[in-house]
Amino acid sequence: MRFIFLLAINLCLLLPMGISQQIPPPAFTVSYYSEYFVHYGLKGGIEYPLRLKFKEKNKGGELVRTKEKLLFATANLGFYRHPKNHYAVFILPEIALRKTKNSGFKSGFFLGLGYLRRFNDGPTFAVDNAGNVQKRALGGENRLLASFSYEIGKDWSKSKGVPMAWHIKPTILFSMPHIHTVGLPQLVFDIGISMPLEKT
Amino acid sequence: MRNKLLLLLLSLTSLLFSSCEKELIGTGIEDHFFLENEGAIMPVVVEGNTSSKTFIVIVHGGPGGNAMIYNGLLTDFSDQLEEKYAMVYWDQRSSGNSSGHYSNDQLEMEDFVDDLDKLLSVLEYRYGTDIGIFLMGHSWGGALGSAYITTGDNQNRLKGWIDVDGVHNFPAYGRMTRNRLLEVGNDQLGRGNTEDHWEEVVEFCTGLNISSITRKQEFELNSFGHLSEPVLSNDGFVNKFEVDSGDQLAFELFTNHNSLTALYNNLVTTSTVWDKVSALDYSEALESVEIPGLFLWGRFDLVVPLEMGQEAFDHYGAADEDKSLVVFERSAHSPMANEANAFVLEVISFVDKYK
Repeated sequence: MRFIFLLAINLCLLLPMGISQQIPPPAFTVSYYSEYFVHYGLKGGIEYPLRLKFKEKNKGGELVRTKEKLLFATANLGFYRHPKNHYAVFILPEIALRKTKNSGFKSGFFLGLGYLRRFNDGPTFAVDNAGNVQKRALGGENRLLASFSYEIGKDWSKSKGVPMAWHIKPTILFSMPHIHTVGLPQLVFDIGISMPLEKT
Repeated sequence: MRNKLLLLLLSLTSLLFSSCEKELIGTGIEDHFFLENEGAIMPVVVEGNTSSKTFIVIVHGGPGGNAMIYNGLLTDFSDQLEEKYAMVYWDQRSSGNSSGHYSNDQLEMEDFVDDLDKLLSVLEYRYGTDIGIFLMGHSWGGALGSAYITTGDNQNRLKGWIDVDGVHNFPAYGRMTRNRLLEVGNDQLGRGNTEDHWEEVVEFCTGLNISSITRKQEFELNSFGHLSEPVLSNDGFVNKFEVDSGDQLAFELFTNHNSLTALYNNLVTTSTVWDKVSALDYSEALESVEIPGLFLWGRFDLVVPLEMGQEAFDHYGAADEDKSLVVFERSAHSPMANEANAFVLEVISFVDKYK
């Protein structure tokens, strides 16, 4: 909860700041996306930068950039599968704030709100009150999806001059509704790379 | 080239999501499907010898427990029975890995009974109307099973009822559990066994007013019952039950089960359902049941004590020759874990007689 609060404060502080002329181009991301590591999946998306701010330090009378803070939006499409349990496809837009050091080390927070469709991974049956059994095609359910992620990774464009970055992004998904409760918390791991869509 | 790539991509995608049509009748069958009913989506696994045409439906504990542990962790019991029969592992609504969406009002005993009835319809649809079905209810499953066989003519769908340390009488639960904990606690203190544990148990039980045991106190009694099992095991009264860590890991990671979802479902379900069923007593209703019944109990069950089993057996309406109560002397709440071989022999003897 504290992280969400801090992220919200950061977003509010960053939005009114001046737009940098050096805002990076949108980036394409692709990830291994898994529920509890083993329920495999894939996610692809676009990161769209909104605001960029630099932190600078005075070193010997010269201002040197030490860190950049990027506010960006993402749009993602993905799926994962827990064999014989369910598979899910989802659309997940996020708003995110990322800090990147000169070394390329990056960390960030993401908040998402999307849609998830769960499909039962096996035949599904329903029985009417007369006792007639019907096989349901594509049995499953629709859910609203909320997500919170913390990302760490490295931007190789800063350390190696290669226009690519990797990330590890543990995520808590909250898919709603679930049984007789508001929603189900799920732990997801997102491990992937990103590349700019244009040459910088 | 582009078409070939597209074709390859489609083939890979279909491979990823494909679930091949399986052989349903035979030995060593591994089948699974889902039952959707009144908003609930419930996973069902059927494993074993379906060519026997004899099916044992596990009605798991809880409320809010899960069926997959009987298949994945209590394998000394389930694997032996799967050799001879088809075992059906069904996660009840709001339990195990069940999903879907419905209101709190759809967690009444009638809803669980309706789910179970529809599960039997699906089993007959999938495996043939000539199959013979036995119910095996464990703990809370004993309550659900009792509710099922005493509702309408449901008992006619079954070959027999197996009650394993089940609750059929909720109003008596607190009193019976308190009395048995006190009895065993005093006996263990007399022997000088694990005194710090038993002193706490005896002190708590002695302080209870048995005419007005609260819900919170019932949960504490239940908790003392569970906590006493490893104590009795360490002191040599109950057979130890341990799961191999490799089996545990494989169960957690590579089966249809998800322990975190099951834990969440359990946490949000147990007390909600318990509140709804706390006034239910099937003692008198059991007198109308005529199908064969087998009551299997652990002598040292301090969660649902033997007195509960004796009462269910006494009220059970089947002819004397068609019902029996078996007490496992070195077992607690789960004799299928503590004395798996003896337990399996009793089940086979009963099922083979009435299938």
